[in-house]
Amino acid sequence: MRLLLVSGDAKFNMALDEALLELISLGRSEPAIRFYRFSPTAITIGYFQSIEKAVNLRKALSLGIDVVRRPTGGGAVLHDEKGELTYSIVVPEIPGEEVEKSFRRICLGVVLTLEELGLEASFVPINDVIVSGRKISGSAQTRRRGFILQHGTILYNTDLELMQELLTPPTEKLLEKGVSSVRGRVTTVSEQLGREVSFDEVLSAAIKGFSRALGEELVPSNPTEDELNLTSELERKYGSEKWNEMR
Amino acid sequence: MRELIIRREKTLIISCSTERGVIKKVKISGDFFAFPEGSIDKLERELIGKKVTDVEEIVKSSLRRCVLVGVSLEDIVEALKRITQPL
Repeated sequence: MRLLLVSGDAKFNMALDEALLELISLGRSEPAIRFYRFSPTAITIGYFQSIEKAVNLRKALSLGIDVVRRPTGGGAVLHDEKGELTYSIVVPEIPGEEVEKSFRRICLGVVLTLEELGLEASFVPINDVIVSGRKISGSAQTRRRGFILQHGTILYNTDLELMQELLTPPTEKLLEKGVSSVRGRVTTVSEQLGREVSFDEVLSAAIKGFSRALGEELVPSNPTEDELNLTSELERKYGSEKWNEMR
Repeated sequence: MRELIIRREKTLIISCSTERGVIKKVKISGDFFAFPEGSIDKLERELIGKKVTDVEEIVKSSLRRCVLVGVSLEDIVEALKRITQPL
């Protein structure tokens, strides 16, 4: 499978993910996996989320942090430039496979990445991976023409205090989970290992982990001209108020 | 706009306003998944101008090909019925 390692800002990252899904599902591109970061730090919200309800917008604005709506459902995420690796992959749907099973299948790559880093991780439905009972990775999906785009996070050194200040999950959700804050139910690779890990170390583990999960080699590659052209077009959508503030 | 939050595996938030038993505005939001995503946008459009008594039929018909994860079609019907009841 093609391995793409290009990173950008939030609108570029979401645009390239959608461009890959569009072109791969049309048979105009070969399947691909990406590992990237958000430069600069940004927040993404799920397709169905209300921007005002999911994010502390005043705080985000004061820090100059962009908030971009994803093409995928799920919850809000802080993509810390210095503490989070994002993966995204486009693979065919398996006919009859339940959504939760497809999350589990693709999240095996995350579980094995964490294993490569020396951590025992497990998948928790619907879309989380946990270490020591705390969330370390979340994923989201959209589907088009029989193909799945799944992207997700691996928190390796995310500023969890900042995450708590910026994201505003409904209080009851946390209470149900028996903890009083985002901080209490989320962790990072660095926190778990007791040392500061780097992006490159996590990237190297992710390449090995996903390669094992997929049973195939990941071949370093560049986006095609087609993919970059469509990305430029889609960046306009992901940078627009109409899209980002639609809910 | 009245607002109702329903928590299942994921959260469903419905905001809605009605006038004389007719839906004027409605927004369905939350951290759930729905495939294809556009079917929720379509449902919102289809609910506008409809009688609150027809909510169940509209949702069932509109979402018949939609796969929901984290909340169910019944949750959406229930939430819409509750939020459109007279105060």
